[in-house]
Amino acid sequence: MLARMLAVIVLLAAPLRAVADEPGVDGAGPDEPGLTGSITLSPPASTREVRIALGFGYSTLLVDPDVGEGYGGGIYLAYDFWKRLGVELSVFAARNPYVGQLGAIGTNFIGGNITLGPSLRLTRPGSRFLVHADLAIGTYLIVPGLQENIWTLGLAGGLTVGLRLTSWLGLSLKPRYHLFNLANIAGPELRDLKALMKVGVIDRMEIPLCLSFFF
Amino acid sequence: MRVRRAAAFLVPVLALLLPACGLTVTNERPSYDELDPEEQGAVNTILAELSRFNAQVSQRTKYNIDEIVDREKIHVSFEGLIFSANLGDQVIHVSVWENIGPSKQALIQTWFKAQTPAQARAAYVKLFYQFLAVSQGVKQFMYKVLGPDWVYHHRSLFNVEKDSIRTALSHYAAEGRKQEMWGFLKGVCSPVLAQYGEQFSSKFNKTYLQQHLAEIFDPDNPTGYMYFICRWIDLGMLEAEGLNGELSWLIELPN
Repeated sequence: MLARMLAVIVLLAAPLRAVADEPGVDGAGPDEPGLTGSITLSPPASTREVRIALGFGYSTLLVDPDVGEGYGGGIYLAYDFWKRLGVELSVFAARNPYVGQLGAIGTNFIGGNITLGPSLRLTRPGSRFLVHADLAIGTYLIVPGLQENIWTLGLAGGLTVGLRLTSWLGLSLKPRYHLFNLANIAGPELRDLKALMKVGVIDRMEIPLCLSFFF
Repeated sequence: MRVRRAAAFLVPVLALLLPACGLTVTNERPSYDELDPEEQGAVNTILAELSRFNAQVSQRTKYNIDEIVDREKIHVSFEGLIFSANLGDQVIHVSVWENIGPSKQALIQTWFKAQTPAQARAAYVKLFYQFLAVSQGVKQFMYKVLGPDWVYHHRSLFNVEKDSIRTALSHYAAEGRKQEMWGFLKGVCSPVLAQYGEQFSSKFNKTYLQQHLAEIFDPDNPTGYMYFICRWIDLGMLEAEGLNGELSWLIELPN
């Protein structure tokens, strides 16, 4: 558990260092002036950008002792449309195995999400370094073993930290934290596999590695 | 700079706090001492039946199901569902009549064509706390002998249920309670088969159950499951061998 929390801290703190290490423009100007300075800049119209990212990586329900670490994958469509603001649509699914005595069943907690929300670019437009913060709201699918599929309401927030390798290709890490099962949208109320009781809000953390394409 | 400093402070704090919120997808079951008297009574009845089956298993094989003959392993505290299962995690789940709610009690009364709620309750208690509890004990024997992983990967749910029920029937025969239990089962299943045959008879097969598990087992309305149970009971009464044969067949199944 401690290792998981340390991993979360390290990964979430990484973009702060990335911002501080921003090398600036052609070595002539000052280094990236930081968030406050950055958002006061008036970016040119060319900051409009479409990104499509394909991601795959680590997924965890953080504190549930009966559900182990797993993996997931998804696609992210983002459009920076005004200054440093943009929107991002994401579709992601994750699979986490039950462990301990529940693990003997050989089944998994499978969940996914379709979310939409604003994103904010924290690095200078045109920079090789990519740091975005985003928030999102959407529908979350839960595939329980013993019930019909369930759609619930959820929220997400996260960061994208990456490097633009060429004008059209980049690589990034995209840690995201989700809170879902906030309200039922469709299907029965979720019951847990262990005590068959109604389940409250669930959280999930994912850290996929993404291949990004810029247009 | 202030924004950056605030972010630098908030991110690690959030990272520490969020995991501490206890947002889990599994709940802890209450202990026996925390149960209502009706729930404790149900546990005691189920435990007595499982103990008798465990004694039969121990006498006839080198195995036992000691791990579930434990009042903390009989899970009855959930509400609003009609459910009886052994998923392989060394826990027997059985719904208690008092916890299922009036609408589901009325549904059960309809299943059995019981004249009164009291009659429906008596039939439910005998079926779920005794007979189906033993069939869950048979599943525990399967998990013990074959391993849950093997059972899940090599056996269909349809056959697991069918074999559990047939072996439970043999257990009652071996205990000298055949007339009592088999007669009772014929009595409760006769109205179920008559009422729901048209709806479910064509669905009573391995493939349909596998593809429509949530529909048949729907714990909010498991009428399909009740029909399937009665069909498995019918088959079991036709095909039942002695308990020795049933248990040894399961032990030799992987071969």
